[in-house]
Amino acid sequence: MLEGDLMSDSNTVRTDLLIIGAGPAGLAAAIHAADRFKDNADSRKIMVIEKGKEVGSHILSGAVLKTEALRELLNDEEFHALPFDSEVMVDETFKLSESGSLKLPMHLPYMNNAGNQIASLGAICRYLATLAEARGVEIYSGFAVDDIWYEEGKVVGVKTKDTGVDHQGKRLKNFQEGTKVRADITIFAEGSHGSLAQKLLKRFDLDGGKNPQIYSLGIKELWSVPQGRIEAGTLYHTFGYPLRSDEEFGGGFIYGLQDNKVALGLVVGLDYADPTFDIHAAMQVWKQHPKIADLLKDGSLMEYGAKTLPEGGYLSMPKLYDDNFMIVGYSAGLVAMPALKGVHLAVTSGMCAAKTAVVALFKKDTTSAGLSRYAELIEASRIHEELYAVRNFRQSFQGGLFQGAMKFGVQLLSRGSCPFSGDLKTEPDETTLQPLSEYRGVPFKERFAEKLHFDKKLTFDKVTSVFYSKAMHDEEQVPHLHINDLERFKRINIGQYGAPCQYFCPAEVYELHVDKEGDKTLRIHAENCVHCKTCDIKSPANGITWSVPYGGDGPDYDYM
Amino acid sequence: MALTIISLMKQVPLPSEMRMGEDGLMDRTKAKSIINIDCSFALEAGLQLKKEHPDAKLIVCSMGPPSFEVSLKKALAMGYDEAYLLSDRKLGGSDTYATGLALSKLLEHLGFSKKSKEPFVIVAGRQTSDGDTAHVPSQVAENMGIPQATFIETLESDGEHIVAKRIIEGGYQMMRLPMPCALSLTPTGIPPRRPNLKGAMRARHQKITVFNVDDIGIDHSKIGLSGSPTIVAKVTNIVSDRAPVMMSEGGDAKTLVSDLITNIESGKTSLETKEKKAAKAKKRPDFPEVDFRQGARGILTWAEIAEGEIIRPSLELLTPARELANALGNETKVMTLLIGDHVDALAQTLIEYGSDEVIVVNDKRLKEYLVLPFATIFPISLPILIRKLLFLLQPRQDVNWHRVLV
Repeated sequence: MLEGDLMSDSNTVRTDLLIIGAGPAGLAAAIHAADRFKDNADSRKIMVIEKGKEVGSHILSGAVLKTEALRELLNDEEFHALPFDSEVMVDETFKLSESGSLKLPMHLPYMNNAGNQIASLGAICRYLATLAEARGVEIYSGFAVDDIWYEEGKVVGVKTKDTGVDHQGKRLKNFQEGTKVRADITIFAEGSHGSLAQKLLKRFDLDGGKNPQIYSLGIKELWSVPQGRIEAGTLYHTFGYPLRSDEEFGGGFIYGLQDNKVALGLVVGLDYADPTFDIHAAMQVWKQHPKIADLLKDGSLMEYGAKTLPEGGYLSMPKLYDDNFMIVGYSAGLVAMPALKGVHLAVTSGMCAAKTAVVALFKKDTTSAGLSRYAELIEASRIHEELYAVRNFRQSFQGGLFQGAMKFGVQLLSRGSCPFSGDLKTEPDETTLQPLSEYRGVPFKERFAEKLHFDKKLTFDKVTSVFYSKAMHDEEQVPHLHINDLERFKRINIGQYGAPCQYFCPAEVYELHVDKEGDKTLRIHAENCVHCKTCDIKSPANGITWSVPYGGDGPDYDYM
Repeated sequence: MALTIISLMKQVPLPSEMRMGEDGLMDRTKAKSIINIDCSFALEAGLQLKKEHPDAKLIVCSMGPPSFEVSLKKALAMGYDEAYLLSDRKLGGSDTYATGLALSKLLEHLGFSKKSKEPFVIVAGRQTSDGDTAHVPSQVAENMGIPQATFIETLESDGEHIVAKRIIEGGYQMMRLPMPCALSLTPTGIPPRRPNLKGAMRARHQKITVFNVDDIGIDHSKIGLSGSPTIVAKVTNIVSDRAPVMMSEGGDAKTLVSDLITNIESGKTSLETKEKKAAKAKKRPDFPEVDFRQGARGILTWAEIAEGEIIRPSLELLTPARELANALGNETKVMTLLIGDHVDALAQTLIEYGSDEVIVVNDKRLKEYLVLPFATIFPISLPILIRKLLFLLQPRQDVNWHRVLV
């Protein structure tokens, strides 16, 4: 078996089913495919490649999980060994004003979490990885796949990133060429706005005719608080302050965990207009609200992280397959609004892809036609059921909270459709910013003038936050963030918008440097990057492209 | 002739997560682990050597608990051919003396010794981040009776010799050693390569051979705590007893500078001086004391010379030497060994800094620091032996010995 995998061409290996990404979707696909192969006495091999240092290093989520999909994936014994943190016991929603809060007497639609489990998704993935490896799946973490391998225009595998180059890409003495992996089927499970998935969407026009995908940026902190502050299993969701209902869409979450830990964060839609809006700072402002400040008093920050999530829903879902490949999980845009639940859908999509792959490999037909069953399975699954009914949800709120609530109210009765306007389109995030000269609202720094001094006890500056994400990148590599057109960037992104990347990046990667003559240049501190992808999504005029750095680089989350 | 490159490697806790157990021994189970940084440079040096010698065999060896297999696998993924682990509970608590012995026994068991017909070179990291002694590579070399070079940055081989660049104060030396020999590598050379996926796949299926102490025939009394002349008596966290002072804060150059100026002007950057606390009476330690001295007395220090001057650390060393001598009482003397070429004039400086007696050894061959000659001079400079040995060392009669007294 081994000799067949390590091909004689010095840098090529092969496998049967290749999965890129060891998140819930990728691991579910691996586990389910392994089970299916075993049922058929099929000895085909499964390989998973993960860019984080270990499984879980790059996984960040709230997370409040619906458990049905995991129940389908695993047997009873394995399911009961899942390292959930606590079952949801208290589930309340608050509307915040600057110093007050109003508890809502009922749950918002789709926001009832009774029976769900709070968990660290990283811990869940680490456990799923052990189950996959026990089934013979080979997981390789610390390896970055930066390119797709095509033959005759079709995907035949991938290539991992060359290592041992300097900033300009020149080979150093410890250069190691990346490995080419040939696979009969490749499943792309890279998570939100996957860099390879983006390439596939373009090349095969997978999103033609669909709504452009739109995203939110979620920033999360894990805290240790004094005993008795909050019970494990407590869920608080907030909306309102510091977000303005006609400007920003989103809200906060606070989850009580075991051992006096608290997971909390702010999730904000990236379709806001203020080019100086700073989501990381907004979260620090949110924490200063008495309700939250009191919760965190005398506590200590343990971890910090940030990640985007796709919110376009059903109408932004691209075609998810073509010859020899399928896309699963968040890369496929599978998140159910308004509760932002995607893990169970990721697991479901992983299982659908696995079922499809096993059959296609058996029939030796991995072409687009052979994989079309994947789309059928998705449509017949809870994915369709859950996403279709809220397909116009997020778009409705692009015009403001009140409008959105009205429209959504109607959709609740019309089974998700917009009876008067037809299905709604989305405005892509990179087009919603207004140039500095045109923005008529109160700019961010003015809105929160007295709240932007961070005391490093309750509130933290970005660089300190990055420290708590444990993000590290090898300095000897080509910086993984690329300005697509320097001249255009200077003219538009800096000139017209004032370099919004310096505000929306939650890791202070981008610094606008102004020299003595007033000349402005952008400095990129790629080492800080936490791999959230906001810059690739939000930068006006397609200013920045995020590509994958060396494997093992990036944050190292423990319990996020 | 087929060259073998042997890399000695240790797995250490991630520096940010080091924990001590109650018994003073490193608690390895609780922290995430990495290959010791210096060792990873040694691993890479071995791989670089293979580039010029494609037929060379690459072996990686380690002594430690079973968890070290993770790092050995990583070394295999980098390109090493074979991996050996010496693992046995009886080795727990070994100091560097016992470790050096154990590793040399392992290598002997694998067929590598001074008498080996085929050439081999041992590459090791300079020191570990959890031990910081830098002893083991030298002790392995001494146990095996082979030449060694430390603080090596890069190396090459012509098949019979190793030519290595050694980092010294203010520059470097080019060393030429016959094989077999041992080298310790600094973390300044070529950084370790990241394993590629193909290497990782190959390593997954490669076996690591594990030996225990009986497999390789080590005397149990020579390892573990009982075989270790030094023990860790106490480990303390260094705690600063004054509050940190914020010199300046800011996100860009302009803010940083103006903040610094403001702080200086307002006095925020001044240090508080606290009164010195009264020195606590020193307790005698509670482990058994054994007197090995056999009547010998005195504290001996060595003055290192760089570019014609005594280096500062050698002068600073005289302060604790003086304190130890005073604590021992009985008019214990501090003696300093000064080795070099025409270095008599420097002896006076040493007396001024606290030495009672300076032993000067002059020879133009001793102008540059070399391990073996300098190390040989140490034992024979001890006052008791000097007169007797001057007659034994005929070839060295031209060496100028004298003692400078206060």
